[in-house]
Amino acid sequence: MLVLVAVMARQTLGDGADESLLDMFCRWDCDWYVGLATDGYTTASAEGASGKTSYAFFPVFPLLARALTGLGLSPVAAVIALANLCFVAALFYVQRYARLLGLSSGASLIAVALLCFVPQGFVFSAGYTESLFLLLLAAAMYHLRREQYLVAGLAAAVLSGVRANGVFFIVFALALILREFGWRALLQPWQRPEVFVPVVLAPLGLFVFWAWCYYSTGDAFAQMSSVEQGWQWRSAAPWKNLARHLDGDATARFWAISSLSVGALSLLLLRRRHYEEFLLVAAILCLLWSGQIPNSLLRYCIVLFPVWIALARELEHRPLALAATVGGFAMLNGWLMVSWVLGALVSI
Amino acid sequence: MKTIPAWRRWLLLIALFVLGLLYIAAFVVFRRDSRNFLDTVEQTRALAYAANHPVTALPQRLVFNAGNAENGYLGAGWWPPGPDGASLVRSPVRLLLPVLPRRDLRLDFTLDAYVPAPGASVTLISRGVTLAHWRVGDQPRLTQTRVMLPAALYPDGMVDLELHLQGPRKAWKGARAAKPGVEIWLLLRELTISAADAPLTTAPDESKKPTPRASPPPPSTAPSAAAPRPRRD
Repeated sequence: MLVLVAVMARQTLGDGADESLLDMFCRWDCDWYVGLATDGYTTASAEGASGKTSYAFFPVFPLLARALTGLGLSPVAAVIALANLCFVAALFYVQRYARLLGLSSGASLIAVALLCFVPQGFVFSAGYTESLFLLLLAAAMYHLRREQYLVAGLAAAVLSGVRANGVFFIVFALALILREFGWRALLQPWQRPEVFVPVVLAPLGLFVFWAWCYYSTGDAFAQMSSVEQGWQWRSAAPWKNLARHLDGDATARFWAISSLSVGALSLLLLRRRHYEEFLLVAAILCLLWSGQIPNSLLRYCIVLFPVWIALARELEHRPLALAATVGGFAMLNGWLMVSWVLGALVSI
Repeated sequence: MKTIPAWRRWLLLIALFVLGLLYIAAFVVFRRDSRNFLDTVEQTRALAYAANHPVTALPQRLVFNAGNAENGYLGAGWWPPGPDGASLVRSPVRLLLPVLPRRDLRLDFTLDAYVPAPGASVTLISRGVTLAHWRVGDQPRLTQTRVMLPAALYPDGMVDLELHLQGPRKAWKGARAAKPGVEIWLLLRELTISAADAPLTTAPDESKKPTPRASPPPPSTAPSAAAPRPRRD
């Protein structure tokens, strides 16, 4: 449906130029990932954009896309195929994770449906890292809850090489250890060292990326250097930023309100005593809100799948509310899809 | 998990501990030795430009506006110049000037600091020697920005200048920037390089009509060649 919306929007509202479906799903950051998959990292800034370099982007997604190009896919096709494959796999993990949290089979499928319909969820099918991040986060959390520590640790390690906020998996892991094994597990780690494997492995991807940056540029924090200068990213207290965004233009307000809505929905996790998931969501939201630029706040939030699991649980026995929610999501998604196709900033 | 032998548990714990230590050691090294790669790129480019474009005759007036060739002398830390001059990305910023006539120089800056906050100041340093220290008043334009540079400070013919912006900052958005959304902290508009003993045609800022400064006046801004003092920051 969204593809149809995209094609119609392009033909009726756009400039009418021919554009393949693949290219339609490769906008904004996707071009950077395609460039990385093709040529690797370069210190050269984009034309007319001092500081905007490929070092601003984490390596795992383009590396995997590059591997897919070995199968004969074009770089654009590779990033989009990778994103879609990851999203499908992630949905399986989310469904199973929901079951682990005690949801019925029906509710777990509602959680999956919410993820499919969530506003701006089309980025899961675009050349973005959201689907890979979602897959690895869900996998790491699922295997940790199943006490498969090494698998969880490896997934978490790769996760922090997809995006820096993947490191916040540690918050979830420590909270879960504390809840499952008590303070003694933390104070006497020699009793159960295996439970700390995911915690210690989680930053590995980030450190490997830092080491690569240090080796290739002499600046281990090249990602931050590029983001700060090229995209004017600065940090400040989350509440100050949110107040500024809410007082800003319509787009900034939309992003701020969207992320606040996800934050409000995350309180449902507390109601069901999913404290570990709540802490993870809260930590990532605080990190997102600490950025002075509101761009893409919604997109960053939709990967916080425990929120949709909690919402699914609430909607399970409320068919009218479920229909209204899915319908509202679909409408917003359609609007954002049109914005995306037309290159409007709100969909960035 | 009780079936895991003790020696394996201890081995795993030690391995995790070692990995944790490696993280800490790597982070310390990264923090200590990393240099902003964008600065490195710009500095390398400026060095290459300067090597091929020496200043052969004095006086020389350099105007740092969008599209001007002399922008090539701007090293690390600058945005690409806009219509009003070159603004700072981060402090310090570097300026590389290959001056062939080996003699004491007089440098006249036209410099605006958009940091109307108490305690803000700009320091000019060359090869570790502080040449001038300007306090920012209640107007952007810095006055008395004439500096004497002894020939001893560029023995290889390359004048290497650093501008440090210190103190609390508050961006002034009145000036046009090269890029929308970029806040301006320090704006270098012009630099005139003359021989130190060349006759003065105008007072340093007479032609630029500096705006009045708030009292009390700032300290002398030109300790310069007579008394270069070691870098303090």
